[in-house]
Amino acid sequence: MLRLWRRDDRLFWAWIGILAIGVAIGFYAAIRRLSEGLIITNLHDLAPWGLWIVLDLSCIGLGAGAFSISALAYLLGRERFKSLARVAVFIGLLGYTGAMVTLFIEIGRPFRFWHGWVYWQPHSMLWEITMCLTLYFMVLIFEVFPIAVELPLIGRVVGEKWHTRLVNLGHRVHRFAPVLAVFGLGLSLLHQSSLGATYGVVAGRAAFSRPTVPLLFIVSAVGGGMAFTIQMTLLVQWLKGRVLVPRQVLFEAGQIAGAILLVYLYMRFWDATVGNYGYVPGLTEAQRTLTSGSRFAIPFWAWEIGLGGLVSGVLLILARRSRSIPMLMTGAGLAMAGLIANRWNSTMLSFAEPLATDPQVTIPLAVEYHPNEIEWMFVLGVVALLTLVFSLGMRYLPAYRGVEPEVSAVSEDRERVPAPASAAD
Amino acid sequence: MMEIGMVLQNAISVALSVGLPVVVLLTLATEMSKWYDSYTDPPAEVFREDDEHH
Repeated sequence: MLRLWRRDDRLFWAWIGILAIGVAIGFYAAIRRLSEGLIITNLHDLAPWGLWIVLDLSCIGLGAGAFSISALAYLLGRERFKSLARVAVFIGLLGYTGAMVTLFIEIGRPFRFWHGWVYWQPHSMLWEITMCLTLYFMVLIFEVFPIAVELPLIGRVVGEKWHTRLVNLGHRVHRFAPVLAVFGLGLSLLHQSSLGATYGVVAGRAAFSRPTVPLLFIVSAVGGGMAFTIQMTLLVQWLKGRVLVPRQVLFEAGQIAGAILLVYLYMRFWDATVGNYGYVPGLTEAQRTLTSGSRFAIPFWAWEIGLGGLVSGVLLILARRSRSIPMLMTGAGLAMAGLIANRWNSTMLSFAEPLATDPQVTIPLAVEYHPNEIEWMFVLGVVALLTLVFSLGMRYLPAYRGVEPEVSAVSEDRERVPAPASAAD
Repeated sequence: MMEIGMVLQNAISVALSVGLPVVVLLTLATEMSKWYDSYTDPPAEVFREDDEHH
C-alpha cells in the first residue's frame, strides 16, 4: 500500500477527495449555523463554551510548536532546528487558521469579528486574546510567505518574471526570521496562557477559576505542540519516502518536549494538591467529578495524566537514548491525545457542576451539555480542511521536498519500495 | 449480576476508548520504523544547504 501511495498519484487524490467530502459536510454545518443562528447547536446561555471551543483550544495548543521551535532555531542559535521549524510554522499557520475559522462560527455575531480591533476593550481577557491571536497569525503569514511563494503553480499563474520577484521578496522577508521569532514568542506566551486565564477568571465556574490555569495551558501547549510537529514530520517523511528533518533533530526535539510534559505533570500535581487542600466549594466537587466520575475519569486518568502525560513524556525522553522511532512516534501521538483530552476536560467539566456556589442559586442553574450533530459536523469539516491543506502543502511546496535518504543496508523494505517521487513532481 | 454487568461495561468502554487507539498508534509506529531503519540520514551539509535555500 505504501509503495502504491508513493508511486501512484491516484491514491493521493482519492485521499484528497475523501477530505473534500469532510470539508463539504463542515461547510454545510457552517452555512446552517450562519443562516439559523446558534439555536441549532446545543450551546446556550448556561453552556456558552462547548465542543467548538475545545477544537479552538486544541488547534492553538497543537500549533504551539511554531513559536517554540522557531525560538529554538532563531533565538537560541540551534540552527539545526531550522528544518523542523519550517514544518512547525506551516502546522502553526494551519492550526491558527482552524482556530479562527472556528471562532468565526462560534461567536454570537460572526460578522462583528473585527470589532475587537476597532472597539478596544482593554479590560477584557478575550480582547487581549483577540489582539494576540490576530497579530500572531500575521507573524505566521510572514513566516510561511517565503515558503508559499516558491510554489511552481504561482509561476504559471502570475508569470515567471513576477514569480521571481515574489521569491526574492520571500528571501528578504526570511532574513527577518529572528525578528519574527521574537514577536511570535512574545505574542504566543501572552495568548497561549491568557486562553487559560480566560477560564481562570470565571469566578462563577468553580472548576475553571484557578490562578494556575494560564501556566498549565502554556506549558502543556509547548510540550504538546512540539510533540505534534514531530509526529507530523515522522508521518510525512514515511509517506513521502524522503527526509525533511535529520532524525537526530527529531530525537532532540522529542527529548525537550518530553521533559516539558513531565514539568507540566509536576505543576498539575501541585495544582491539584494545593488547590484542593481542604474543602473549596465547587472546586472540590468538580475535582471529584473529574477524577472519579464516569464521564471524565477515562479521559483524565488514561489520556491526560497516564498515556498523554507520564507515558508520552518518558517515551519521548527515552527515544533519543535508544534511537527508537516507534518510541518517538508513540510518545508524540500520545502527547497530542493528552493535550486534546486536557482541553476537553477543562471545557466540559465546568458544565458538569452547578454555575455558582450559592445553594439558593445553583440548583436551578445546573446544566448538562452534549454537543449535537451540527457541532460534530463542523468539527469534522475543520479537521478535514486543515488535513487537506497540510497534505497538499507537504506534497507540492518545494520547501518540504525533502532529501533522498542514503540506504544503510539492503533491507526488505528497500527492495519493495521503488525510488520515491519528488514532492514537486 | 448487575455488578458484573457494570464491570464488563467499563472494561469494554476502556478497551474501545483507550486500548483501540493505542493499538492503532503502536501498529503505525512499528510499521513506520521499518522504513526508518532502512536508511541513514544524509550528511548534515545537505540539510544546511536546504536550510539556506529556503
